[in-house]
Amino acid sequence: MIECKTSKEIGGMGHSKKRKEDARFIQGKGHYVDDVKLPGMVYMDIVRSPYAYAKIKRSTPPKPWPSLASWPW
Amino acid sequence: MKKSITLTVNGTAHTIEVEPRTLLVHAIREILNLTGTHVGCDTSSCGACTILIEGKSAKSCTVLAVQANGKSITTVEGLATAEGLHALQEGFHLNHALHCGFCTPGMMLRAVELLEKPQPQRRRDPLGNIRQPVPLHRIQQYRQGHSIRFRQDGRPRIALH
Ligand code: FES
Repeated sequence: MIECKTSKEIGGMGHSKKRKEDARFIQGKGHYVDDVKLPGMVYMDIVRSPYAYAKIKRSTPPKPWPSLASWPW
Repeated sequence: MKKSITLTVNGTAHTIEVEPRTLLVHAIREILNLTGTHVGCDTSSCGACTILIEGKSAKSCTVLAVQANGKSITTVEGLATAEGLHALQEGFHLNHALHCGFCTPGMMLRAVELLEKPQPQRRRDPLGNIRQPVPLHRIQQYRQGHSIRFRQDGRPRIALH
């Protein structure tokens, strides 16, 4: 078997690479989607109709929602 | 009705107002803004939210914030000290034990607790974390290598806040 390995100084082939992004991940400094906070950000819920084929005449938001950013109808 | 609780997180005491139903992980992430602790499943299955409460690992999505009142908590942000990274953080990096890193904080904190246990117990201890396709053998390799190093050079137990 031919060994494909570059010298230590050159690195690359046959050498494992140290990842640059690890530093933030191992310290809890990653920025995942759920970590994003923007002014005026809201959560969205999709309410689906229990009817397969029907006309929407009106809809009322469920009572306990404290601050509703928008309700379509 | 909100309740006032005090949590000592990574050595700093915080007094915060939470609803009785607030989960500890949400208090940590949203009130204390420590977003290093992640929610993977919200159902106690994955372990991404693992933190240490009084040095014992707990899935913080399964603990109410009010239950942790007065307790001292360690999150991933508290692993490193002024002297540098925790040996586990370094080890995870050197052994390529993470990919996207989402589950890593939980993995590391769980490992901290495992390494503090006497050896026989440690071997039987199941891995309480579910992971993305991260090379588990690397994590295990690292965890084992780490414990051996621990015993041979007689380094002190990992100091926690
Ligand atoms: S988020 Fe807590 S166990 Fe998955």
